[in-house]
Amino acid sequence: MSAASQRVCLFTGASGRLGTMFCRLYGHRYRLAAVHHTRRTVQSSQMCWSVDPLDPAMRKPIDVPGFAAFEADLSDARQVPRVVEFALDTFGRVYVLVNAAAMAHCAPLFGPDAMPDVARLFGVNVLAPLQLTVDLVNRCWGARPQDNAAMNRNVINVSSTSGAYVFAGQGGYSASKAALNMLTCHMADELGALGIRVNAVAPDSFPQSVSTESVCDAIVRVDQGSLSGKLLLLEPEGETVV
Amino acid sequence: MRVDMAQLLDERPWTLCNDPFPHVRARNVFVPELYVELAAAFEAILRGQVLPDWPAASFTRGMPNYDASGIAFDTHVGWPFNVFVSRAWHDMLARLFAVDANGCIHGGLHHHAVGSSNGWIHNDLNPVWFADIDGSDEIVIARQALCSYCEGHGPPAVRRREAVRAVAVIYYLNNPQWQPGDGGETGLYRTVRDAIEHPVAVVPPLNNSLVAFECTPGSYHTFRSNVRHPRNSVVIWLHVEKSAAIARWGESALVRFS
Repeated sequence: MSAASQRVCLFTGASGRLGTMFCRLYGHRYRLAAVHHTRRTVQSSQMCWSVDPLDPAMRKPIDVPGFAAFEADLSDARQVPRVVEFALDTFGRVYVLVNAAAMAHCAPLFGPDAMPDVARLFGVNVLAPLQLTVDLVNRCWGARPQDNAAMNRNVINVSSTSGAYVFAGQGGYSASKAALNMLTCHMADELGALGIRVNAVAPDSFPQSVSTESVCDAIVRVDQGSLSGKLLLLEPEGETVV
Repeated sequence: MRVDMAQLLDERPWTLCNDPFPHVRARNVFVPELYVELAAAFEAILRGQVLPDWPAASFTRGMPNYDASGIAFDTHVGWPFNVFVSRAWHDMLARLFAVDANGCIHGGLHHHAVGSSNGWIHNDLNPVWFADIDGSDEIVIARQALCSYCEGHGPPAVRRREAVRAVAVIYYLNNPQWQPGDGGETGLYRTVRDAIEHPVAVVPPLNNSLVAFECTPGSYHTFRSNVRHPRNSVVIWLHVEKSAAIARWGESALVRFS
């Protein structure tokens, strides 16, 4: 697959468990604008080699040129525009935005630091995905709506089953993911007029309940498919599209 | 027959991918002259013609739970298909995957008529049987009349040797031009529980291309229904001694044909 034919993916949370796995598994299929916070991203490992069947000891990694990392704190709304700017400056375009950055802090709602915690949770888990999407539409995707459907441009919000079910002690986190789920539906509704799809992938805890690989695979399937306004629940029993 | 792979191979290098399990892909595998002969021979057999160099070749539907007709290579296979049972081909693939292949080869021609059903997700890490009557240094082709490949059944007087599939190759040929949506691909999967419609990667049946992989506990793959065109291929397996497979994967990892 040539670099020119690879889709450009703006992926937030790229240094987390999911992001690291995504870079490892799919770094060769996408040109990745990998956004991370304090932890460094892993350079997408070389997944393909050229090998001569008549001299198999000589293997050369096939260059994966499309990887660029960018540090940003998505709880700071002022940094969000820089993220979109970085992706567009680096690759010239974005086909899919994967909002995988998340705060997963779970604490009692009535503890001493509860309110600031909940505010930060909503900032990273809800407002940042919204702001990134709006920024991307304003800077790029809104200019030529006819291109959006043709290029299958879409947004994938990484949510959680905590946004669909009540788990004790996860009030703030759960509420933020529930808000993200509803936001996904409204974004799909409004951006559908521009030919932009928006969906959420909502896994159970990974890797404990579902494999991290399966979450990555689901993200890629949603990107390649035609769903919009849907929530893809990933649970040990299987997948459910809601 | 002596075969010089350097003379027969066309486009090199090939591509080794790790996703979802290590596999090699290659396009324009053989030089055009050989490909034309292979495709013509395949088509001739498909039309019921008799190949002078393999007169007994005739497609039959004998593969349990597999929606295809096929012909197994036998000791009479001649040009051009005998390239696939040559020492040079065997050794090249064994070196490519760094397996200690034991010279036993099984394979044949597969034809999926339009609308063939999906296969099932499997890894090919199967114990199989060969009649032990060939010279130890020679390529051993499965002789099903003496020893059935899957079960080892046969006349009591025939000595048998058990082996385990080690390398699988699917070479696509004599197919209409493929386009996305046509189906007929080989789907590659991460687990046996994956949905067939959601492969991690697919290998389209492009003429004169192949996919090859070491048979491991994780080499999950299957045929995906071909909705628009027939799909034709040559399949080949190399093998290792059963003891070597057990030492590497453990006996419980081997998947017996049921």
